[in-house]
Amino acid sequence: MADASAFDFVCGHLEQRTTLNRLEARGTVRLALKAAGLDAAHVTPAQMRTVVEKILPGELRNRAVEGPERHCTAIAALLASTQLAESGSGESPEAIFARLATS
Amino acid sequence: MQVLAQLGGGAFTLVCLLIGLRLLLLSARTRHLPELLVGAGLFLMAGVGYPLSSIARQVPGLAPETRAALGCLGALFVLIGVVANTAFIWLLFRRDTGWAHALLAGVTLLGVGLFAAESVAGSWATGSEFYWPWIPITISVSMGWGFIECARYHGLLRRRLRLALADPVVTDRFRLYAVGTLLGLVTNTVGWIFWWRGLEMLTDPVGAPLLGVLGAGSAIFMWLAFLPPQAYLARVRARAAGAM
Repeated sequence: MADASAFDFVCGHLEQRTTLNRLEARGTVRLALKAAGLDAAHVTPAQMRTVVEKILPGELRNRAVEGPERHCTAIAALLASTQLAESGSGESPEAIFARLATS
Repeated sequence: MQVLAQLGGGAFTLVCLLIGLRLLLLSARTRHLPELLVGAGLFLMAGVGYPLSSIARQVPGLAPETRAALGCLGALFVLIGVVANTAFIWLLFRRDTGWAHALLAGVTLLGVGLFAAESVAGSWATGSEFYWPWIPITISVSMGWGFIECARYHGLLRRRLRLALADPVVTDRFRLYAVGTLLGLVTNTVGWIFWWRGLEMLTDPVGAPLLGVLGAGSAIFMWLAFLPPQAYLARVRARAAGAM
């Protein structure tokens, strides 16, 4: 799993644990990421964990998935205990902007 | 009115000089390309290039060869500045995107082409054959692109802020840079319109106050973005904490 992205990791587990198929699981996670101002290509494991804990339960509830909090808590715990690849290439725009002035 | 224009334009030039220099010194320490590019963009384009070319065109009593040398040097600084600013936006947001490579290449080629054409025409005392009539296109593209990307990214960071996934000061910095760039873009576009109508913005009854307000506004936003006082940062943090 070390080479998997945080996005693929969450989608895979969501597909295994719920009645959502691959396309539905990926679409649901993408919507949750969009609501958080993130995208699948650049989300880090730490950011993904926050999205899984705070936004994904609501998205699953909207799709009538049973026990969304239970699934999300389990997936967030797996995320925390798994070494995943950091997505994206190079520094993020906010990391660069943080450096350009005193904070 | 002319005084207002000089104050606004002067404030913008001074702020860009200071911030540009600060960012260039930062790049010398960190050895990172982004601060070198944005620093060169601000310092060379707005801080040095525009004032030099204004001196070449408007200061009376200069020898023709001095006027031409200053005009050529000012134009070269503007060219390097606009390419550096465009490269900064490309590096920040779109370094893996095909159309962005093409846009950066297009701005660079057009700018270099205009500079070469003006040099061949031998008219650097005014730069009015090729360079100044058309270089504002590259500046508008560069600033317009910067404004769109920073405004879009600010929107994304505002959503992340609600989940404590973004820093409120950095989020606000994208907003300030976007607005400062937008005001610079408007100034450049209005100045271009004045140029084509054969009017001098600095002395025009409409152009002068517009230049003053736009210049001062852009200077304030850039100053708050790159040299923010602690009181302003504390206010941004307090506002973000109150909204959580």
